[in-house]
Amino acid sequence: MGIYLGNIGNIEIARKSDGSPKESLVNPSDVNASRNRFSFDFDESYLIAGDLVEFTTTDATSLDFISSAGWADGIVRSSGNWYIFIDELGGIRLYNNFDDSLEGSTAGLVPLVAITRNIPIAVTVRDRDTRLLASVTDYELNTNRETVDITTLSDEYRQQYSSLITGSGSITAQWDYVDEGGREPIHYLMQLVLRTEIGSNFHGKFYIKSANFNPSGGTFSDTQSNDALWWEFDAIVTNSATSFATTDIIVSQIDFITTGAIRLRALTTGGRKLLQENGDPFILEQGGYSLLEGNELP
Amino acid sequence: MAKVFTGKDGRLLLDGIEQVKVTNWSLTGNLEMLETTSLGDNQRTYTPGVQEFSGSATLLYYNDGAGRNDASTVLRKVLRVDGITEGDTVNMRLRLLEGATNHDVRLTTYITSVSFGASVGDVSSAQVDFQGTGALLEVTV
Repeated sequence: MGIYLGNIGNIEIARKSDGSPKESLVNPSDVNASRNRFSFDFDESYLIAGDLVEFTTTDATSLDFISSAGWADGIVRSSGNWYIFIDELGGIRLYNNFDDSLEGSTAGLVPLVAITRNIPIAVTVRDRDTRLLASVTDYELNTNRETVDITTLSDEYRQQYSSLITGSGSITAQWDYVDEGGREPIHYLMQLVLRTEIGSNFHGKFYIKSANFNPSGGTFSDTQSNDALWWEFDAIVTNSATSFATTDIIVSQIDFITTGAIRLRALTTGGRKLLQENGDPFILEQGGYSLLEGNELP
Repeated sequence: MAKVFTGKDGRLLLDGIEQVKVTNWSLTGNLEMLETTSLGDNQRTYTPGVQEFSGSATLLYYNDGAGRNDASTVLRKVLRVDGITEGDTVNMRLRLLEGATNHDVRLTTYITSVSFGASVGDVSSAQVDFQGTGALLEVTV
């Protein structure tokens, strides 16, 4: 019987949307090539800094306003994926790297070029990557099974029938809006509750015990150290609260409710990875066009 | 011996068959009063008119292991392709049980209204309204 402390847990989240594309038009005046920012008609809360967004032209022409330097193979195509940063004026900057897109810095900024025609586009927020949620101090998850009373006349004892399962919980984390370790800052969930049109969904993996993590506290056998146990579900952010006190770290609390199935999963054997013929692993390219899913090129 | 009656003591019988999965029944008896107040009277006076009995019950839409579904049987008293005739009465017995003693009201009824459906997070049930016709057949309450 081991003793398990809270520091063996963590939270992974994947950005998520309802998958529906938004169609719009990029006009020549929307593209500022000198500042490498552009825009199109969208609600300012539709996109969030750090989103991986797929841009596709709807008339099968090329995305001419994105320089060839912004493509993994240097060829301008009709569809591509980039991380985005939304500046204070609602302009969009493109990045090949998640961390750079959170900061909106000039490092890693994808260059743009001026255009002379209107380009119709469809924009879709992709949900490819799962990241650790940064600086979490505690989380709570409640699962609840509703019951229906089916007691009938002449019964001596109440009878209940299993009904629907619901879940809800909260996350508390130290506030941050950038993170250089490829982790998701809590600021994203604060923005998510304000997101319009495509909702405030996220996919969460809430770990009771993380794999390959040997904390200073607690006791683990050799076979236990690589075990992982976690809840996995989709959730909707329902409430966001941030507290400020002069002598305390800024802390944000996020409340959520689950939607769909809640799974309590366990991984007690080492993970198996798909390898190439020569034994090398497959590498998922993070930037530019290439994706190992969706409408990638052959 | 003192006895408080609860739903645990309730029973509902249709045409002599005890119904299963009944969650409630109720019976209302009304007496129509005819006014006989006349000029010169200082107080209103009445004489009894016609009695009326009606009620309702709720049954879970439930198939037992043998395929019996009492709710279905009651629903089909109204939900049917052929019309309702004068002979389509139901002998209804509303009972409160006290050990071996039955406290009954028995009457002849027409099923006047049925409704059932399905809703998320709830058990499907059939609500039945009935209207008594004629005098009560038995009263032992």
